[in-house]
Amino acid sequence: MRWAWIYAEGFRLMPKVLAQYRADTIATVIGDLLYRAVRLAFIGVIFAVTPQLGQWTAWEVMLMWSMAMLADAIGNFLFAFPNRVDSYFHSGQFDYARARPVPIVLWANLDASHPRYAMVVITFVATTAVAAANSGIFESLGQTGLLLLALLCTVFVLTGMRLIMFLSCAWFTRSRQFFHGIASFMDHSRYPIDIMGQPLRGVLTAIPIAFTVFYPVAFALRPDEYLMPGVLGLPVGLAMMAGGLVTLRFALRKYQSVGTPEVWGAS
Amino acid sequence: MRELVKLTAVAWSYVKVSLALRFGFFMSLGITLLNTWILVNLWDAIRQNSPEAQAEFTAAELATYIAVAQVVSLARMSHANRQLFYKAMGSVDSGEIAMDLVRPIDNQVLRYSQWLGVFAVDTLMVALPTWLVFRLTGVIGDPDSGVQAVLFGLSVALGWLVAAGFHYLMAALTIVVTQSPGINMFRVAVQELLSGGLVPLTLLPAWLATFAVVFPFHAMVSSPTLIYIGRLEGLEALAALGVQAAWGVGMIVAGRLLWLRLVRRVLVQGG
Repeated sequence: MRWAWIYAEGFRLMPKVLAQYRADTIATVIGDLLYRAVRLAFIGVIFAVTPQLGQWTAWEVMLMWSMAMLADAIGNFLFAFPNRVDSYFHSGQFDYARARPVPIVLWANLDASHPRYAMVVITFVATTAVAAANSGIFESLGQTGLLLLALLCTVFVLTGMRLIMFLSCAWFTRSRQFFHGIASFMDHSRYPIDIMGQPLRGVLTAIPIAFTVFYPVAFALRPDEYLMPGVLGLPVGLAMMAGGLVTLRFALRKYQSVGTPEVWGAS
Repeated sequence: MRELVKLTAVAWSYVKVSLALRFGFFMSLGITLLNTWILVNLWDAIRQNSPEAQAEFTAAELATYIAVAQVVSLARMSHANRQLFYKAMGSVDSGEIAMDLVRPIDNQVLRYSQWLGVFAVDTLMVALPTWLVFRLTGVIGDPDSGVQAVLFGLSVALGWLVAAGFHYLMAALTIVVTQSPGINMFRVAVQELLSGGLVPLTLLPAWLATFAVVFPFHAMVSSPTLIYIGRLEGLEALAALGVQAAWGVGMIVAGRLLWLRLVRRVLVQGG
C-alpha cells in the first residue's frame, strides 16, 4: 500500500518534471499521436481501394487497430519498464534502482513512463468506442463485455511479449536494437489473420501474435465463429504475462553491475 | 579528396563493426522476412476485392512490388543503421555532439560515411537474403533485363542517398528539439506510407499520391521498385534516376545549410 502511494505520487509529479521541457514534451506527444494517426490513415488507404478485407468491414478493421493501439498505450503507460530495461542493464542504472526504497520494477516503470502514453490512451479510447459503435458491438451487452475482455487479453499478451523480448538483453544482446523492427512487425500483424494464407496464419497463431488483438476482438465481434480462439485469449494472455514475469525474475538474477553508467540518451 | 578518404575509412570501419553484430542482423532478417510475408498476403487479399488494384497490377506484379519494396525499404532501416541514426539524433541530448565536433572530419561526411558502411552490410546481409528467399519461393520475379537490373541497383543507391539526406536533416533538427522519439516515430510512419514501401503510390488516393510525389519520399522506395517491375523503362527510368540524384544532392545542400545554421545553437554542459 505504501508503494502504491509512492507510485501514484510519481505519476502526479511526472507532468511537473516534463513541464520543464515543454517544447520537447509537446513535440513528443504530437509526434506520437501523428504516428498513430498515419497508421490509421493506412487503413483508410486500404479501404479506398477495396470495400472489405476478407469478411471484415472498415470499422471492424479500425476496431482491431484502435484496440491494439489502446492496449499498447495502456501497457506502456502503466508498465513501461520493458522499454528501458535494456538501458538499465547495460548502463548500470539498475544499481541506482536497487538502492531505492521501492521495488525495482515500480521505480523503473515510473522512470520509463511518459504522459504521451496517457494522451494516446485517451485518443484511442475514443477511436475504439467509435469503431465499436459502428461495428454494432454496443447493441449487445454480452459483446460489450467481450470487448472489454479483449482489451484485457490484448494488454496481457502485449505486455508479456514486451517483457520477454526486451529482457532477452540479459542473455543475448542489446534488445532495444530490435524495438522498432518488432514494433513495425506488430503493426503489420494487426490485420485480420484469416485473410492470410494458412502457413502464415499458423505462424502468427503460434508466436502468438494472433492473440495480441485479432482473436480477442474477432471473438467480441463474432462470438460463435471465433469461440475457441476467443476463449483461449485470456489463458494465452495470462501465460504470456507469467512468462514475462518469470523471465524478469531470471533476468534480475543475471544482472551484474557494470559500474560505469552511461548517459541515457547515448544508449 | 581528403574527405573522400576519410569517408571510405569510416565507412569501412562501420562495415567491420556491423559484421561483428551478427545476432542483430539475423533478427533484422527474420523480422523483414515476416513483415514482407504479411504484407504480400495482405495485398493479395486486398487485390481480390479491389477492381482498382486488379486493373493496376496483376497478382504477380503486386506481390513483386510489395516484396521488393520491403527489400529496399529505407524507412524501416535495419537495426544497426537505426542505432546509428538514433545515436545521431540523441547526440545533442547526450552531449556526445561535443566529441563529434572535435573530430577531424566534417560532421556531415562522418554521418554519411557511418550510414554508408552499415547500409552496405545491410544490403548484403538483410536485403539480399530477403530477396533471395522470396525469389526462390516464387513470390517475386526477376527484372525484365540486365539493363533494368543495373538501373534498379543504381536507383537503390540513389534512394539511399535521399534517405541519408533526409535522416541527416532530422538529426540536425534535434539541436532545436532535443527529445526525438515522437518526431522519429512520425517520420517512420510518414516515410513508410509516402515512400511506397507499404502501398504502391498509384493506389493512394489522388491527393495523397500528389503529396507523395512532391516530397522526396517516393525517391527512396517507389522509384527503384517501379524500375524493378518494369513500370519505369528506358528514358522514364533515367528520368527517375535524375530526380533521385537531384533530391540526393538537394538534401546534401539542405543538410549542410541547416547544420551550419543550427550548430551555433548547440550548448553542451559536459555531456
